[in-house]
Amino acid sequence: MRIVSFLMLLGFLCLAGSTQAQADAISTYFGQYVDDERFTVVYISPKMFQMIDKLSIDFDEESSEAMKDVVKDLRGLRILVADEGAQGLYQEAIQKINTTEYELLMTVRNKSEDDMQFLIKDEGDIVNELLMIIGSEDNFVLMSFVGNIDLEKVAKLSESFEEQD
Amino acid sequence: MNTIAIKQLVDKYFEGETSLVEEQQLRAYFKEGAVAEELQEYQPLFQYFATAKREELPSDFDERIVIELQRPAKRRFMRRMVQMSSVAASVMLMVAAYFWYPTTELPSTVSNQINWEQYEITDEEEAYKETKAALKLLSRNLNRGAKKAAKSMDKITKKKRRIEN
Amino acid sequence: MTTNEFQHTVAPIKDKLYRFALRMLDNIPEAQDVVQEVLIKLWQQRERLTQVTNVEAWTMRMTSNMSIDKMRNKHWRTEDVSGIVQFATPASSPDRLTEQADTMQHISNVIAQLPEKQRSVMHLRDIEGYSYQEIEEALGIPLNQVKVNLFRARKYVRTQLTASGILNS
Repeated sequence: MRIVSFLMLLGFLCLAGSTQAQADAISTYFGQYVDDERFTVVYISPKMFQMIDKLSIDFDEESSEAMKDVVKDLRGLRILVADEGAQGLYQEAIQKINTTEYELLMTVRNKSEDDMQFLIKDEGDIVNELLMIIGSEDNFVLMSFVGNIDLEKVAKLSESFEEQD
Repeated sequence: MNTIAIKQLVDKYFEGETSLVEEQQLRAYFKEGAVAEELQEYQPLFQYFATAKREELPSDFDERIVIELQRPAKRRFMRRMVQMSSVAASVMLMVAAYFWYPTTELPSTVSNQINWEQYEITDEEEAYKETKAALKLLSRNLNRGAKKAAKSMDKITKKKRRIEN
Repeated sequence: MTTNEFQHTVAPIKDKLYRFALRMLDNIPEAQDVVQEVLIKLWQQRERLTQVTNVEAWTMRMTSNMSIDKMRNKHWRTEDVSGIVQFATPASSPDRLTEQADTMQHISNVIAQLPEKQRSVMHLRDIEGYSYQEIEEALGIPLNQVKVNLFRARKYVRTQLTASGILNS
């Protein structure tokens, strides 16, 4: 009996461990920020992305096609924004992330503008999560895109957005 | 963010078309002194919003409330019973979970106890707006970062060439 | 639940409730009374607290209802919209300082002139940063009304600020 329950406990721990690994970076590392007064929090669920994909009304023509192409592979978007203590939050954030789990894609450091870091979690060629951290003088932004993320498509999006403005 | 982008956001704001994150960006931009001259007229309004958020209850409010709460101290026995039964219930739950766990899938949020639903955007149009604004910011920054990286790569290869020649 | 735990639970929301009540009532002691009443009600129903998924929306709804009740009970209310927010302006010349404070006061007054719904929606969105859904839950009005009221509020504020020369265009 003792062995059985031990095995069950082991199984439970493994399971808990594996699901933990599937969680997004914000849930994993920044959970305490979510209910923090200083942050604006936005969450968009997988269900919502399906709805957006099916939306028949075009809010704006050209960019929406390119955008839908990206959105259809998204499974979750989580955003945290704060306008207090941005620099401190940024430093804290970039130190918190386990770099064996998340790979640093790019760091941008700027004298006059924002500091930025992009991190990804991938499996083979597929990017499962993209995390963007921005810290400027007075704004801290943390965004986690979960799904199947095609970086090239995302990078190209800005062209179609620009045309439209 | 540059002046033109901010002006566009201001216009969008008055049309009621900005996303939460964009509005946060506006408040952040107008918070500090470095506002472009042609945008200065908008500063008071967004500063007002930021200042109004700092209004707080007086520090003795909590004490006053606690005194109020402790006033009717009857039914203490009942409360104790309720507390005890809830402890018993949670023990039961833990036991049940322990045996039940290995066969069921764990929702990804449970491990971190974040109630994302509370922050979920459930209106299609707004979800579209928030997603678009997020992708816009992501895409633009990815490109900016990539450009910077390309520039430094250029420099490095040029230097290399110079050394080689 | 001990009073300590209760305090802990309401700590992140009490100031939000207060700001909202203040926006609606424009009177500091009355706004504090409303928050106190809401928190006492919450305490009395604390056994239910664990079942409520969104305590903030729930209490905001209570605050909104109570503030509106209070507002409507005071027909005799004067038109005086004296300052609700103390403005700490950055140090500059005294002239500029008073000018800035005047501008802030003016904006506060313009918002205070808004109809009750527009004012509450604008407050929750532009000051507290609520999403449309959160506003819908907190005020118990349908989403399209949230949007319409927000749009009208911003339009009104823009027109008024243009008329008073704060905005140019």
